[in-house]
Amino acid sequence: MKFQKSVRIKIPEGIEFSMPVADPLIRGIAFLIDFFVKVVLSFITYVFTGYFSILFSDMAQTIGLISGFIIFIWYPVIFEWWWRGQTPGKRMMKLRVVDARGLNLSFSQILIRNLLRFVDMLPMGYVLGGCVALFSRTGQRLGDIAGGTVVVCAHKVFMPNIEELMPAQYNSLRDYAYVTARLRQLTSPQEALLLANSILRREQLEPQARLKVFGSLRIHFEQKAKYPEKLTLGMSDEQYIRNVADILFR
Amino acid sequence: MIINMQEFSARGQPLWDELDHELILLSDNPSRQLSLKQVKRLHYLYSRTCADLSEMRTYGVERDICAYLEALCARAYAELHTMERRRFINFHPFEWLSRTFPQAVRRHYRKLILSIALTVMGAIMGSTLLVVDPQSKDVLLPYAHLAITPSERVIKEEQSDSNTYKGRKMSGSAWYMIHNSKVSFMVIASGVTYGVLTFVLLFTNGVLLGAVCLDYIAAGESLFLTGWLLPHGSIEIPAILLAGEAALILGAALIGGRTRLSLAMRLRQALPDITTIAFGVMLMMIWAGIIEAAFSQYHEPVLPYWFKISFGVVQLLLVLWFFCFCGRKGAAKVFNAGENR
Repeated sequence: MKFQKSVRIKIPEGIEFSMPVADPLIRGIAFLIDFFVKVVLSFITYVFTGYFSILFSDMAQTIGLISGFIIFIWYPVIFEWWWRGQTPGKRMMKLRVVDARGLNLSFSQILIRNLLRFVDMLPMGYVLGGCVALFSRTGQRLGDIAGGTVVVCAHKVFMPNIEELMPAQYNSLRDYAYVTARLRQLTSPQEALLLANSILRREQLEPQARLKVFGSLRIHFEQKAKYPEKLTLGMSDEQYIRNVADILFR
Repeated sequence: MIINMQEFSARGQPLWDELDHELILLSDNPSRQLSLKQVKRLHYLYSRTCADLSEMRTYGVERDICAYLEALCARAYAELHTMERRRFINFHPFEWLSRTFPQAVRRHYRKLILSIALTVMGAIMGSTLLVVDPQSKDVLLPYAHLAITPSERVIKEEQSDSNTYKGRKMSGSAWYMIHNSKVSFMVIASGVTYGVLTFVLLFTNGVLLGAVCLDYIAAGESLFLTGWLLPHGSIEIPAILLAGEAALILGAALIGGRTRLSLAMRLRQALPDITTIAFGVMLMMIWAGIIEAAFSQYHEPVLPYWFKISFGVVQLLLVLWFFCFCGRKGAAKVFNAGENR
């Protein structure tokens, strides 16, 4: 089982939400993408200043030096500010820098977390920052600790369409109102969650495993409320479970 | 009890959509001002969504809807509870330069004094080492242009004419700016080692400065030294000291001391001042870079020493005045307003 670190934030309204902390490997890939973007930008600047230097040598060198400074030092600060905690690399890897308390990022936090790269990079290749992040509960490098920031997975969450999950169809089990009511009464939220997940993830299962899972679930739910045998005799295990889910969630 | 998902969703969806829409508007336009009615509505939508999430967690089983509501609540929480707005639109450079920056420096004057003391101690150590063991010069000053004797360098520099740096002035300025900015950023970042590395960096910088000064003074080249260092040093050295101050603020926030605040709170309090000082240091380094390339590298007969020294002295006095007195009036007003409340 894969263990993923997460940041848990409890808000005054009494609820708690969590954000999954970015995996160090994914962060590394995002860093490499950013590095590649920086190299490409530097190359473009180099070509531009190369042509420019034919006319104005001193000015071309100045532009080259300053743009190099901006590209390699200020690149993450500028992007994280305008894209609210994302650089091109982070955006591609669906990562985001967020405030450790769940608030919006401030410019001070962005600046400090990036200034402290100078120390995180020591002695070379982010060894110090990487070691600190590995031992940190929330995967924070020194810059993140000082800035009060965390890098989290930023997958966009959309509202699921219930109709798509369970299309409205005729459900023969509903004809037996008494048994149906008993089934709803005896099913716990945990059991219902298990049932919902088995339906949602059924396509990920191997055919044999799929038969086995739905067979076991059917036995379990049949023990709770027994529908007449004439009704369920020709019904497949999966269809039976889908009908039970329809009863529970609709 | 299990929630009837269709009913739950049909009841909550319009409110969730409205909240989502409001949050997108706020996110797209951070300076957007809401009326009291709009704020009340936003808060209502947020509270309702939180309540729905709570209900869903207790009785519901649909994990995707839970995740969606969690994300919505998290976004709304961040927008409603963040005090600092994205204020670049309302940023006033003059206000920042004349008040915010000097006030931030003065607020932590003890750390600035410590930064100065460390540099001075380093300078005393550097000059003492050079007096005790003149052979240590190679170790103390491992730079090519400082390896020759001061007198040799003075002769060499005074022989160069105004065309020596022709066609390199602008790029020279840029190089000095960038190099000095990187050094000061390194000093600020060193604060994360609880200030230990900051102590080392400031002390080492002092050792170097002390050794150079004594080397030139002992060789009877005080005039050249003053004319060379003062024009850009009068701004560059204070900038390094301020970078040390910012690093010590960071170190102190990490250590905590007597305060009961949590580490996160201490850092949150310290960050705005560190950011302000870091930006101020960068501006000072840009100015120092321009002066160093365009001014400091020219000596007599191109530029008379009295002119360079006068420029340096005036600049140093202006720097002192800026940090001691600039923005005091504003600070007093703010303080009084706070008292009246």
